[in-house]
Amino acid sequence: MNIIILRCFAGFVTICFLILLSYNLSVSSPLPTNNPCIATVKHDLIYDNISVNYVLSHKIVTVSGNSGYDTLRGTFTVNDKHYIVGRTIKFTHEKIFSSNSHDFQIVSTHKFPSDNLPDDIANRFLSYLKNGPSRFLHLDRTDQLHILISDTGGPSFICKHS
Amino acid sequence: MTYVLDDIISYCPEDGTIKFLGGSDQDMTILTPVPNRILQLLVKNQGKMLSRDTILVEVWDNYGKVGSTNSLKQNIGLLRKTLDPYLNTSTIITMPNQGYMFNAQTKIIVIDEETSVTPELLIKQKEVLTNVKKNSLFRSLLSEKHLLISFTVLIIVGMTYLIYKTSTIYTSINAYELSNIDSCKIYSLKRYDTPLEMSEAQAEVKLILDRLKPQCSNQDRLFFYDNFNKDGAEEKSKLLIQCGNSISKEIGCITYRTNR
Repeated sequence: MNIIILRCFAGFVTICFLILLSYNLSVSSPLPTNNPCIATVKHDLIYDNISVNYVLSHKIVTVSGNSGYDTLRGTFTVNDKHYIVGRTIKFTHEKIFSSNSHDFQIVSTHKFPSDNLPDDIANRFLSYLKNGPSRFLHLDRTDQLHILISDTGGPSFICKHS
Repeated sequence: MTYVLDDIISYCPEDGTIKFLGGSDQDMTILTPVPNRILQLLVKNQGKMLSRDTILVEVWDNYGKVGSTNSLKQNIGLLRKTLDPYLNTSTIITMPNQGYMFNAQTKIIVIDEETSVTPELLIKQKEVLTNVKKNSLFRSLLSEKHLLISFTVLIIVGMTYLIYKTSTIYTSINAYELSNIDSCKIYSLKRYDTPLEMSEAQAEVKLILDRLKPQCSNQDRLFFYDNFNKDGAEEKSKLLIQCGNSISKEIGCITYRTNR
């Protein structure tokens, strides 16, 4: 085989590989930037004979490739005591190479004045809102408008964006 | 007499054989008389420009044949085709409108088997040949051609893996049809392998639907999931998610989770 053709082919293949690699690395998340993905989550659960009910609306916005915020609003009832939830959590998420999985970490929480959910209850029943250690999240599309968010325990909810 | 060119090939002008020293006996080419005479002439005059007329006289006229510039060009092309896979592509240099020259940079070792030699010289010649063979094998393994082919194969394997991974990133997940409510389809987010598991899941869905009584339009889709057999789940629960046009934009999709 002519060495010049081989050199050209190797160069071409290398360029294709680099383009594909950079595309793969650039696809950071299926969540559209600056376009809210909205979900409403209703939980009706019993933990150790404690009745927990809550309705929370999530408005998830990815600001840049790997950071964003989730505005939560709703009500929380535990053993017939009612609380209001209104807070914005800022997060970062890093895509794990060549997968739909993300390393997700809450970096700060801003509570609205109306939010009266005690921290101990939030930490116990809404542990995914805790600042600190990173969590493993999986993002999948169910179609062009809907994204399924799952964690190690399985699917959590589906949000819809425009 | 044998010439070893660039420690890679041997050339014997007597029978016109060109042999790749790092290869098997199949890596051998036998030149026909005309290109053999041209190569012999060029090698003997390495580094000197030979005019076309000189070559025509030495190769054709002296053997009672009639040569032409065209046939000279064809034979030079044939020689390059034979030598280029092994040696530098500029082994035979064309001097425009003048003639041809065998590259002065090409290393030539002359091994004369006919000459009476002392045993020491014979041993030395054998050592040279052995080293030449070793070097040529090493060089052939590490030649640019082999490196390029290995590199390209490696890149293609990596690219195939990347294409596969890229094609599966953020593509729609599999959902398995479970049942329906009115005209809305209910899908399971996991696959049930047996009819029994499937009917249990359908019963769970019915229980949730009886409790929630969701409004449903044609375009709505409902997804069911239970983590009863899922490792890593903190609490066993089941969820039903409704997405579609009957839900307002402000609500998005509704996810209902219960363990009751």
